[in-house]
Amino acid sequence: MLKPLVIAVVVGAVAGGLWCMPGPAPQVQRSTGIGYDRIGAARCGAPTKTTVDLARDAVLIVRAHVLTERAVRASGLIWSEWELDVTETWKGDLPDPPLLVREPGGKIGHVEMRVSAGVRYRVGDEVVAFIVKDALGQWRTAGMTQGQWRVADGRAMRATDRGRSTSVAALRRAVQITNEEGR
Amino acid sequence: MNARVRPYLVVLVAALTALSVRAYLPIWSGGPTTPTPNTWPSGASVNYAVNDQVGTQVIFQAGSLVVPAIDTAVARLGVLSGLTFINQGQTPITDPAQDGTNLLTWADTPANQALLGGGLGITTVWFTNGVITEFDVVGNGSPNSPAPGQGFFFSTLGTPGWFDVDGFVMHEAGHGIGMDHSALFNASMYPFQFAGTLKTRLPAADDDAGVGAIYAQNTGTGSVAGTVQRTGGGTVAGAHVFLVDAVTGRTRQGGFTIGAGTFTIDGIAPGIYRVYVEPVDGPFGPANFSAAWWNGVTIDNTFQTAALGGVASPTVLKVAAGATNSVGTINVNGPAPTRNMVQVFYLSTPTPLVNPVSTLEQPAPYAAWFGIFGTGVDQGPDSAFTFLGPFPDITGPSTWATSNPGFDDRIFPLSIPAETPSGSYVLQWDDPTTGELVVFPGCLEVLPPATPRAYTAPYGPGCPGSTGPVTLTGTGTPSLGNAAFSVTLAGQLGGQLAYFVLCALPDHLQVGPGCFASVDWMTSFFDLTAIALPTGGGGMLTVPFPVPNDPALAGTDIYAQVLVSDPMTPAGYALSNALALHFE
Ligand SMILES: [Zn+2]
Repeated sequence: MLKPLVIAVVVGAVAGGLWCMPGPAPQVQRSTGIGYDRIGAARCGAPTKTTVDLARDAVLIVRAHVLTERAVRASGLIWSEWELDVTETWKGDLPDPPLLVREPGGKIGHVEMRVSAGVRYRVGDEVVAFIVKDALGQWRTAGMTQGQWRVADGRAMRATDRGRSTSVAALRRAVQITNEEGR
Repeated sequence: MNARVRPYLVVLVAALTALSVRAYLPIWSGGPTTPTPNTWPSGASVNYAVNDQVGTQVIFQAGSLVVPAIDTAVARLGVLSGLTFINQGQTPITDPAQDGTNLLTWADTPANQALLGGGLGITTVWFTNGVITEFDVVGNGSPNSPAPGQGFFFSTLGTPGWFDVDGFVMHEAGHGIGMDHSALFNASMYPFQFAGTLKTRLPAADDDAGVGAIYAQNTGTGSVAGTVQRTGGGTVAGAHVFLVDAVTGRTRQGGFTIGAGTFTIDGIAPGIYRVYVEPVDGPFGPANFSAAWWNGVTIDNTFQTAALGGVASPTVLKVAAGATNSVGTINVNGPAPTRNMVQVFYLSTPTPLVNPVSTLEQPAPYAAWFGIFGTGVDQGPDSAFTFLGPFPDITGPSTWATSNPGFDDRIFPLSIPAETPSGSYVLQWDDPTTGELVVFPGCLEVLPPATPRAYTAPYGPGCPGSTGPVTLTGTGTPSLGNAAFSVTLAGQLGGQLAYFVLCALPDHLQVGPGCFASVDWMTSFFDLTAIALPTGGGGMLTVPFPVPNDPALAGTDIYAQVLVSDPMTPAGYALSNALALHFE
């Protein structure tokens, strides 16, 4: 019977927190060889990844406070740019400050550009940010909304977490384990 | 009887408050309580250009007609919005920019990959002071994104495993004219697309109403407005509020509460509805609700699904054309749900998880195997899972219920009867083990059959006579030219007088203690004529209802209910259930 195998794969795939995607698509990937993104995909936004996958993807993982926000024009678009004041570096080599994370969309004067998906930061928030360099060399949030945890009272939560927070310590441990595996 | 009922109608109409009608949630500017839509100018011509030249990379299924599919999709949005879309042909432009060209591109460039972040697609929308000036749609044309060797593939042929160009453009260009995401699974603006499905080509009632609201194209429709708040507590923002047709059980429009906990849902066809509120706790989640990122709406999704009037017996609300029905406050309560349905799958064979498809695209009648995935779905009795309304239902015991860490599943046989009207249905899970109610609106889409089909649908409680309930049923279907169609009244009230009422609209109007008129007597087609019920045969009366072969009747609905005199009841009468007759 196919079923036990399928369930085992599904369980493995979701253990890291596969909840913002609607569905058990990964089992299709393993049982038929068709990638889950070929079955169902976020129309506007990044495919779902586990925390472990996000940690592997990220070149920089930091705990930081969001200091400032401004809108800039780059590559024909408007981007929002946030300066992160890093208090802990969990992965990667921190570049010389300021660390500026960009996401598409923003407003300059009366002209505004919006995108149909994406993540934004709020000045004053404390965050754990999983950061990648995009194809244009900009610092970006890994997996869009999946790579940004807002921190409050020692707990971290993402927009994709369905209201369930994780302790910052546990998140940090998960990143450390992934770092050690990668060596 | 008219004299007794109509005063109630007058009171109800007078009670309708004239709130200012706001739009369904668009891509809006302003703070969490002040949504201002961004739109193209009314009636504008919107030129667009296409770059589907992806070289030797195979991202389009051979034989696909990409540009005609794009043209079809935007033309559909044009019909809904009153905008005129004009194809300017192919363009060498590869990347979005504020350059005056509304672009649809699949070019595999660094700039596009930076924007996509591994996603299927993304749309940039430019606006100034509420007026959209440009949009650009990017489809992911890289064979190595989201992962090396695992790109997306597009088709216009309904190819299994390939994403439909038309449905994709309906969604992305929907953003381009100012629409935000919908939390209804069946809507084109739902934030997830499934490979191989075609249904998002067609706008759902939700898409239709949403576009119509921001472009002032909704005519002959009504609105529902209210506030969601915690019992004895504060208002709830970011809640999904949606309507279910009380006659057929089909889901209709939805919307969200904004910063003050208020919602307005526009573009509602006149009829009777139930109003549900659910938390955005997945599959549509806070990450998909743009107003949380852009407009400062703080989402509260830690409450249980609720309904206007309570989930045990939701209020049936009549929506009239041109009126805004203010429903006041809908109360919700914590704690955060521990149950959730996050996906359904349809299986072509009874072997679980072989050939699953994530949306069912079949006209009725159809039988399928039907899998539910989510938290705790393996728990509790089969009877806890039902589809709202009289048509599709789970027809037998589940064949599989598996508990997994964080990811449970259950598989049922599902039946979609021949009479099932096309549209989208709501799965409800009323879990007695936790007392939680969970809904999955729009998770079952029934396509229109090749030939439209007539149906009857019983609805409404009526009120019993001294001998028990009075039932009204149809025999056969009200197909044009069906001389054999009839309706039958049964209720053990032989010798009493029956008044058949046929109306253009349904209603839900309390006319006495526990007694509801389910047809809108203000829209009755003729004056009442009394028919004496036979004294034998239990007082059962069958009335022939030969359906004329008149094409003008096709697609229309009539709502029937029967009042039977019954001096032994306090009101002096009984009311049958109502019966919707849909002619085709
Ligand atoms: Zn979208």
